[in-house]
Amino acid sequence: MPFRRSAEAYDLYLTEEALSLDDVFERLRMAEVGGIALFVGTVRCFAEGQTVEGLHYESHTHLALNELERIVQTALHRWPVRRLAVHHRLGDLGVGDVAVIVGAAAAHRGPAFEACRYVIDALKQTVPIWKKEYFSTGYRWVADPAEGSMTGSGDE
Amino acid sequence: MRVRVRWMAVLRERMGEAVTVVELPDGARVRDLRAYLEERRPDLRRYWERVRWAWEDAYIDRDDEPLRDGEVLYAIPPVSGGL
Repeated sequence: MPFRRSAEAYDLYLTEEALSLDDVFERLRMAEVGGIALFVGTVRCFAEGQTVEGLHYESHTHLALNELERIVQTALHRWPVRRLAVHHRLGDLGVGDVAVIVGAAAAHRGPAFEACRYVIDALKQTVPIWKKEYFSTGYRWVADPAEGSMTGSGDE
Repeated sequence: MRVRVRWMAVLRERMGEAVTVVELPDGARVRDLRAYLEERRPDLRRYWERVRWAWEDAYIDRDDEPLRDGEVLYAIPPVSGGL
């Protein structure tokens, strides 16, 4: 049940299948583009001083695509970028798996880097996707309000 | 009026169910739903402080947004997508 929303200037994709860097790259490569910035988020083997055994991502997909669309529209207005791609994995992931790919294609490298950075940062703020981390001792939802000070502290 | 609340992620686990039907007085607004939950489940106060409300397709930005009988609301705990 992958979910995709595509237009001339962006490609948004949520899927339980493995993400492909080649696929994102090919969607961004075009004659008018001279710089493509790609950010890849992968599953790290530690969090909160514990060994992570796996992750689960859950989403409110319709709202997530709408929020992603709002974010990429903002980036397209702010920087001279030609096309943006956001591919996010859902479901169960193992250590080392690719969780998210953000790509920005522009005529020059500056706007590509800046737009790419903006989109991944904004995604983490408002897009309704949730991460559950599994440890040998149990699991936790990242940003769970009941955990107090751990919420919203940079890279999780 | 009755609204259906769909609990997402950690809130679904805390509530122990995916959907709760909530009865509110006619004319109730988003803040009344919040007040109802604060009274009903004070143990989850930290969640009610941080929850965002949404429809199927958009966040609800106003606390005084009127609710409609029969509508579905999504309870959105703090998000954690990305890396």
